[in-house]
Amino acid sequence: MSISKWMMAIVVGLGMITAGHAHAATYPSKDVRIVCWSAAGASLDVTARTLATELEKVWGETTIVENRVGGSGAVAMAYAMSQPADGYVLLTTTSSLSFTVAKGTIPFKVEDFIMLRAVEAEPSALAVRKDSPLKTLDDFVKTMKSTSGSLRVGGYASAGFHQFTYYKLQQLGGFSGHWVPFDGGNQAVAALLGGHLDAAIITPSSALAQIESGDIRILGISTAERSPFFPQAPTMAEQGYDIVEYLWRGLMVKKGTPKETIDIINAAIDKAVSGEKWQAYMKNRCLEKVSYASEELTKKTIDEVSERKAFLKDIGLIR
Amino acid sequence: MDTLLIAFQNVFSPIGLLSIVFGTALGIFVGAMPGLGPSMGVALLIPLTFTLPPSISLVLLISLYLAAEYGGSISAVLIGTPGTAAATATVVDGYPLNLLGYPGKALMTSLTASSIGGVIGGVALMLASSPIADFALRFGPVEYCSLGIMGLTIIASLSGDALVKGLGAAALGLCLTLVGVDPVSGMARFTFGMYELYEGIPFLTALIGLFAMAEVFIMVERSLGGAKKPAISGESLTGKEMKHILPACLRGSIIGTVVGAIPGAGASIACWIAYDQEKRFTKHPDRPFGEGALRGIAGPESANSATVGGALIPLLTLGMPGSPTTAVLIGALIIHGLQPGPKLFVDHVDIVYTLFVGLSVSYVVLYLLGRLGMRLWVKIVSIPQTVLAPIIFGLSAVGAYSIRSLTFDIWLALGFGLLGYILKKARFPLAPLILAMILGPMVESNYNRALLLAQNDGHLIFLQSPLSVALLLLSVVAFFYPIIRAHREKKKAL
Amino acid sequence: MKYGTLGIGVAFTALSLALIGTMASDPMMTGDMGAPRRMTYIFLGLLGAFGLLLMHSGWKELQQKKSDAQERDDPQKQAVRKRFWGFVGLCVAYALTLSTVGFFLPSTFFLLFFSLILQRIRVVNAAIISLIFSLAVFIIFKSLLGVPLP
Repeated sequence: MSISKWMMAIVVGLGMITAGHAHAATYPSKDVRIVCWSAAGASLDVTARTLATELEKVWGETTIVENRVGGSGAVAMAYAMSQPADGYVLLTTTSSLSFTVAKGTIPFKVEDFIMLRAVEAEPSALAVRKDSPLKTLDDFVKTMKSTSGSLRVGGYASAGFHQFTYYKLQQLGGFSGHWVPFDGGNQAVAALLGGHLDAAIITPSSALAQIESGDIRILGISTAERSPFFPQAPTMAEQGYDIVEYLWRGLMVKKGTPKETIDIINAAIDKAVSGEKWQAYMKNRCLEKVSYASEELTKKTIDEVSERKAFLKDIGLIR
Repeated sequence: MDTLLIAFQNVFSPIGLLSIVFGTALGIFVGAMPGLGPSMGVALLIPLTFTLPPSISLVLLISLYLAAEYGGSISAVLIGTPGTAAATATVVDGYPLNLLGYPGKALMTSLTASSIGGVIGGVALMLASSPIADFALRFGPVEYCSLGIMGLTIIASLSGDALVKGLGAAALGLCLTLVGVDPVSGMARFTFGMYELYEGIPFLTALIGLFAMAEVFIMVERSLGGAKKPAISGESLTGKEMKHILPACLRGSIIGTVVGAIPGAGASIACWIAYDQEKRFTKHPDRPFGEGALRGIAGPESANSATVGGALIPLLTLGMPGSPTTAVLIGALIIHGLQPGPKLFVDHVDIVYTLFVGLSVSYVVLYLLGRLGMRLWVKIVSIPQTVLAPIIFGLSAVGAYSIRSLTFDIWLALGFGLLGYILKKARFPLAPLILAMILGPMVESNYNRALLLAQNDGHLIFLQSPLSVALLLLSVVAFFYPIIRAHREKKKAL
Repeated sequence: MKYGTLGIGVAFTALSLALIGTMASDPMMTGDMGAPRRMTYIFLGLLGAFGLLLMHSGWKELQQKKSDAQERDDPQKQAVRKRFWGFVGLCVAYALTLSTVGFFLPSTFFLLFFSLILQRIRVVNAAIISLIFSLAVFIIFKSLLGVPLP
């Protein structure tokens, strides 16, 4: 063959390689959907929608949120798994994933997904009414011990994040108590305000209005250090109860999504959350910043699963 | 005073009025379609509000909410299918009245009642938020359980003569609520490994199946058998009838406002309580209840419209949702950077006042659009049933699917359709079944919670709260009174 | 429906017994979790109890009805019943295709079939109505509202 033909072959070859890369680099080239496993209006949904709006600004493609409620997330997960792993279907995820997987009731494992980012988090807080005689976490623990657990405590969900926090408190404080589960954080707060509960374990966003007005006091909050949003709320750790837990919320994709796409998505998320609008949202809802990177998040979730399993066994939910 | 002026300016601007009209029109449609409801309508409209200022967005969403609660009655009357869960009570008297040939009367009653209900709910919101909110807070697990029990006793009066069948249907309804994860223990019951059933049988799906699809089957059977439809009289309400329904509207509105303000109870319960009240307090209905009594339509419709104002009360005073739709509204508020709760009065008074003014204007728009649409709805009745039936079936399938975007739900609805058909043919009243499905979870989960709270006191806790005692006493009366009355009447007849 | 109440009564009782049976073989709940279990038994028990009551009243009804004239056997009713169950079968088929093919195609075709089975209007009219329906749903549901469709 002549030199010119070789040249042509090389040029065509190079062309094909770059074309391949060019295809990956054009993600996203159509609508991106974020599938949310909670109902419209819930905290996770609002985060998803706000994030979607910001992502749309970053990459210029329509980004919408689809609510697919059911099965503690299984319905949304099943849907995401039924779609191609091309990065156009993102799935919301929260730290409750580890609970659901630990319960063993859904046909998925953490390893079926690739965690992208956690974009915000909330701590758990032990809250009482302003007229309560309890002033510190020690007061609470002492009262529970001396009255053998007679204080009425409750919060959102059974065998979930807040009951887990309570469980840890019981272990560290050396007392045992009953957990009264409610269908929503708001309901637990309403029960607390109405005098039906003595204390509630909630994410602060369930009672922002009351915390600000002082109708509700936080005895202990599960952040590592005092939260800038609730400076009067002592952390559980500083009071001697080493409980540092966050309910984080973020995104994940189906396993098998190409690395280049994942990198693009992660970069876009990072850009979106550093923007003004997002920062304002976090401030408005008193959401804490988190900075878990992809692999770290995956590892953390997998570790959490075994921790949750021990908890679930103790409360008699699984064998 | 200035803020009030700003509020007026907001609402009466072209974009403001357009939003109200658009929201109302869309709301009526969303409410009338079985499977779509106010919650979904508000959720779907949220992206649209991104381009609007927060105050107008709120007015848009609320006018949709109000209109949707009314819209449910349209399909309830015309095709025997409640368009929203709250319109189920309207079917009981609305549909028979339509079948008798008076759709106009039924629709007009519903419109008038809804408007009055909306107004009273709104007035309560503006003037009496605080005391009502305080009352609502007194409901804890114990009181919710007692409220639910009181609701269940309504089944007795709904069943009329077929008491055993009615209670049997209710028992079936209660068992259906067993499916799913129990909220207190976290254990899955009767899900047979299908995670679609994890959260239980979606109530709307059952509603669509039992009412829409079953009614389709019956419609087809009837028209195939050559049944003739009675002549439709386009007659609307006479002045006398208007006066007759007024007390029902007032009673219903008050019930709706209070029940709407209670966070765990909403329109779907309020409408039944109102219906029961009408049945009990109306000595001389124009037609027997269950066959087209006007008050049987007016009471529930006022109640479900009043819940809109009522549900907004905890939103403004406590920052909490009073109903599922207000939960979505809270989401919308947050997305727009607002904080639900009393802070709104401090930081964004203009938005609150715009809400009030907008709500007031919405009632008027609702009434006007309702009147305008009246002629259109009545035309629907004259469509031959053979065409109407398949269309309704198609819409039901879409509605069932749209609840969770699962084709599983279409099959579930179909199953309920067959169940509803069988039950209707065997002359089982369906209302008790629906009521049991609504109240079952409320009674059960709160019963379990109450016992957890009681610890050593056990069941005594139900008697320790005066509110609970009152509700339980009412339940006993409500349950035994119709039975005793029927017994006495039988004795008289002998 | 002659056997209606009786049949339903039997169904209730059978269902209740069957479900109680599955509970016995699945000891899931202990301690604090015992209350939901209790509730389940209560509800199922109620179902069974009413099943028996219904069987009783269904039996009584049957005794009464036996003295009434026959109603089932004339040929016209047979024809109606065939068409009716044909319609139901069509509904099931419609639901099936909805899940696989999507919304618009099956709906357009099925409205046609429905009308044909019900034999009241001309094919042309039926076709027009089907198209209008699909178009309406498309515009209002999909474009305007964004309601998810199969």
